[in-house]
Order: sequence, then C-alpha cells, then structure tokens
Amino acid sequence: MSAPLVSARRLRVEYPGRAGGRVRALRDVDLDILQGETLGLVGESGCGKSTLGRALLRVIEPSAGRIEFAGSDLTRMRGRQLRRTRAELQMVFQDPFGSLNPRRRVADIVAEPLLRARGATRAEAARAVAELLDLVGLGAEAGARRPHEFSGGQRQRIGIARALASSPQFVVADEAVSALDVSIQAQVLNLLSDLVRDRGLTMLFISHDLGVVRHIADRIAVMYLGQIIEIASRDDFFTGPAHPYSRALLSSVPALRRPGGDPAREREVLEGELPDPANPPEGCLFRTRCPIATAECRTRMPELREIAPGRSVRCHLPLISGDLEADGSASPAIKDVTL
Amino acid sequence: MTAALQHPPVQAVSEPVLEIRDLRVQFDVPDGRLPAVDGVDLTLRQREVLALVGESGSGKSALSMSLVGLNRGPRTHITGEVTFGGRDLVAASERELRAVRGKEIAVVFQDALAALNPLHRAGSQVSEMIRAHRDVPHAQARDRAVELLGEVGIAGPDRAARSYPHQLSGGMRQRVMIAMGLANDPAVLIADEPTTALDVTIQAQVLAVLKRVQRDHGTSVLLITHDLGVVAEVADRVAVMYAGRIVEQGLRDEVLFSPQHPYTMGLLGSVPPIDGPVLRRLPAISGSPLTGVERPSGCAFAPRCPFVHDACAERPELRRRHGGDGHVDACVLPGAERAEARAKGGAE
Repeated sequence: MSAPLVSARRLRVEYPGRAGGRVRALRDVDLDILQGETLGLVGESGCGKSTLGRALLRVIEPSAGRIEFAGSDLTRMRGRQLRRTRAELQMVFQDPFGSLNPRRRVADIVAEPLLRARGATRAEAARAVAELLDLVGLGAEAGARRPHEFSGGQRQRIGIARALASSPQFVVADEAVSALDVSIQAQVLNLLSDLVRDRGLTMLFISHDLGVVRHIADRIAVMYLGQIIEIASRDDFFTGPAHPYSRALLSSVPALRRPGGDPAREREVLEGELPDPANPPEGCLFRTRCPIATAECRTRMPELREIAPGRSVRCHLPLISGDLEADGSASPAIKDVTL
Repeated sequence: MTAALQHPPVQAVSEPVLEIRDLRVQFDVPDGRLPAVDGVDLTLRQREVLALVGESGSGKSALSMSLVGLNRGPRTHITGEVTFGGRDLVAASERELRAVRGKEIAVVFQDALAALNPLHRAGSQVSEMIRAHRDVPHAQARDRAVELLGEVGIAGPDRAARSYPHQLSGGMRQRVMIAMGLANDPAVLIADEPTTALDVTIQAQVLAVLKRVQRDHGTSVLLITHDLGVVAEVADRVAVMYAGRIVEQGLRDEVLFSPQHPYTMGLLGSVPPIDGPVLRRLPAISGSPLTGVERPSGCAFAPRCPFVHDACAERPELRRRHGGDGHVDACVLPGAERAEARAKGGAE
C-alpha cells in the first residue's frame, strides 16, 4: 500500500449558526488519501463532503485540525510556500459554467494556474495550453474561443484542462460529472480516468452518484452529518457495506437490475430525513434513522475504528464483523442482520 | 421499512387514456424554428406508468408540457392531436384546458420550491386545488388536504398543512406536490423529473409513495425522466426520445434489457452500474446531442451512430422490427448487426 499524499487530522470546520450557535460542517475528520489512488467521497446533500474537499485545499480555512500534504503541514503554510504548494493542489467543479470566467478566452483561463503558480513565461504557457486542450479532446484551436461557445461537456473539459495546467499531484473533483447528461458524463469519466492513470494523479472524487464513484474510485469514504462513517476498498464496500447508513444508501439507488434476479425485490427505504446539523442528536448521529439502533447508540458516539485491514467503520454494531483469524489474516464476514 | 418497488409490468394491454398523434412542438428561436418535438405518436394506457426517457434537449419536457398547453405562447407552435376523453387538447381553448388541468390531468414538477406558492401554507395550496375544480366547503377541502398529505407519507400531516413551503424539506415539498397532483383524483398524472432534485434516500421514499398512490388511485402516469434507474424502479412501459422523436418504445424489461436502437444501447451502456463487473472504460456515445434548428432529413441519431448505414439517410419509421409485440424502434439496422451492436454496448 502506498503512503498518504494528503492527510487530515481532526479537521474541523464550523460556521456560525442561528442564535449564536455553531454549525459543525466537519466534525474532527481523520482521512488519508494515498499516493496515486482515487478516493471516492460519497454522502447526501449537507453531509460535508464538499466542505471536506475544499478544506483539504484550504479553499475553506479549517477551524481546527491539521492537513498534511506530502509530509508538510499545509495548515500552517503562508505566503510563497503556500502559493507554491497550491500549484500541486487543484479542483474541478460541478458547474462548468459558473466556474469559468465568461469574458476570458479559453486559452487564458487554462493558462492562469501556470502563470500564477508556476511562474511560467507566456510562451511556455501558450505551448502547454495547446497541449492540454488537445489532451482533453478539445483541440488547440478551442483556446481562441470563449466558454459560452461550448456545450456543458466541453466546458467541463476546459475545467479539467485548467486543473491540470499546473501539473498538480492532487486533484479534488467535486461532482465533476453530475451536471452532464449520461452520454456526455461517460465521455468525461473516461477522460478523467485516463488522465489519472497517465499522470499518476491522486484524486478525491466527490459525488452523490454511487455508480459513478464505483466506476472511478479505488476506495470509498462515506460521510454523514460532517463525519466519516465508513472507509473501505471499492469492492468491499459495494459487496458488503459495514455501516447501516452505507447499506441504506446503496439500497436506495434506483438501479437497473437484470430480470430474473429478484422480481419482487424488497428494497430498504430509509425512514426520516437528515437531522438539522445545528441540532444533531446525542450519541450516534445516524441513530435517529438507523433501523438497528440500541440504547448504547443513544448515549455514546461510536469511534471510527478499523474492523479489518483497510476497513474502518463508525458504528457500535457494524454489519461486517472483522474478527482476526488465528493466522492474523482478516476475514470480514457479512453478519446476518436484517434491517 | 421496506417497500417492494419493482413489480411485474402491467401485462394485459389496457384501454388508452391519452393518445398523441403526430405531435410537433416548435419554438421560435433567433436562428429559426427549433423542432423540440418532431412528430411523436404515443399512447398512455389506463393504470400504467409510461416513462418518457431522454437527455437534455430531447424534447421530453416540451412534449409533456404541450399536452396540457403549459408551454403555449406566441413563440410556440403546436400541431398534431392529443386525444383525451373524446377531446383534442391541441385544439382546445385555454379555458377548456384550465378545466382539465389539475382536475383530469395533473402535473408534478421537478422543482417543488418554484412550483409552490411561497406565501401560502402547504395545506391551503392542496385545498385550493380541490376547490378550484369542485364546489366543496372550505372545511371539507381542508380536511381532505390533510388526509392527502398523510396519504403521501408525511408524518404529522396537520403540522405540515400549516407549514409554508420554505419550512419543509425538499422531500416533503415534493410530497406536497404529489398530494396536489392527486387532489382531484386525476385520470392522468404527468410527473416531470419528480425526484431528480432529491437525495437518493429521499428519492427512494418519494418513488415508493408515487408508486403506491398510483396503484391505489388507478392513475395513469406519464413519467418524464433522464434516470434509467428510476425507469427500472417504477415504469411499466418506456419510450426513449432523441432529438424530438421517439426512437424506441416497449415494455420496461424489453427496452432496458433487450434494447433495439443503438441510441438506447449507448444510453444504457453509459450508466456505470452499482453491481456486476467494473469496466475500465465506459462505452460512451461519441459526439453531442442535436440542439440547433437544423435536423438531418434522415435518422437524427445517425451523426453519432457507430453503425450508420446508407439507409439512415431516410427518416426511419417507428415500427416493430426485431423486438416482441409492442416493442418498436426507429432503426433500419439489420437483425444480426443489432445483436452485435448490443454486445458492444451500442457504442465505440
């Protein structure tokens, strides 16, 4: 397993709430993103996944906690050092229209990170931009045009070219394909996975779409109400999620299932809605919607603990038991828990 | 806790309730006339959920809105026939349509926050919908409104009835919209992306509600969606739209699991699944959908189709070719090549 490129330790983001209260958007998040991996970050609106992505790049300043990038403390960096490090950290946004300056030519938009963060000369930047626009399938001639002349999928390619311009090591893609129609989404996903592979990028891929995440991510992290509640490899997660919320999330996805599989498929529909983040429940934050919550869950918040190598869950009653075998190898067994 | 959403499709062919013949909807745009709906024949049958599937700009919303005249205006040109209850809704006056809308044909929109009046309580919006079409006392309409809010799965319907839209969550607002849609027990419910703005756990709740009330009330539903997963969950039949035309139509399982048109195949291949093998690359459809006023005289999908033939230069008819009864498509590709196309996922 490779070393972490980006690490968050007890990372906290708070906003002032109503009546002098504080809303905790991130609740002491611990997370390692490994060199060269794509980590899929999933969860529903308001769970804090975008906040985490932005806080990791210090687009949002964390209220507490620490971020390490390639071994240095990003949270304490200032001035030139921060600027130089920023070149290694880039972001692809959901809305390719809102995130591209409509008055500027595409070539200038893509060149900006190169000029600003890498101190490239105009000539160097022009050459690099032409290559990048080719790379994302738009062609160098696209540089002379302006964003509005492009379709949504093409604008997303411009956003990707801009994010890659400074040759970053780490990219946060926040719902980068969510606004696109499926036929276009597939094109952009293919482009992203090619780029990640060819350039050895490390990526945090934030999405609410579990199918998309499964396609592109090596590992999955699930968030609920500002906390990470499960981390697992892609295959472990999709074959047997350990947290009751993860299981409900997977079960809720309306999906194409082959006929003859299970004609009268009973689907788990989670009751209730996300609690008000300004007024979260005592104990486990998920217990108000959890089908297997017990008295303990009402009083004690579970820790995020490793139940098998590479597999962590924040639940008193994980659906997977990770008891170590005599030889030390883990054999996570799917528990027979009926939700 | 659990809900059986998937169910065997309505097999027996029921009576038509809404018949669309050669419907065309054109919008005046700076470049000319945009053929948003370009000659559609479609029949909605009693007690079925017919899903109309397509990507942005395919014309699916333009089609559904034109059924009840919601997109009429000086820049819109609607021709063709929409037969409902012995009347032609295309030829109907605005006054006649007002009597139909909300009573016999109701519409549920994607964006409930925009569709609900922010200044009126949820309960009174439902009861006003009842009173707009029926002469019942306020108190009776109010009681019925609370009953309906309970029926769409709102816990504490009394309290929800007294709430303003902004005080309700997205999922609750969408339930209020469905309650309004059902207020007069319409024969037809047009649901335009009713769960698209919702998170998956809430979407699952709302889809379950929609399906249950549809069955309880025997409503025919025209479901407009871009989400093939939603189609798999709730539809009995499916019509796939591309560039203003229906390119394939059939029972849900026929279309989803035995697609005949290369566009349907490509669309299905583009969706990364949550189970089964993970492909290294998705079989994406190349190019972009048609959005301008110019349309090819032949097959509209031909410019993006990996299996394009000489014969595609002529506009293909929607008819049964290689599917089962009632499974029709608009592609001239011969049978053997279709099988090959499907094996490749319909795209390069």
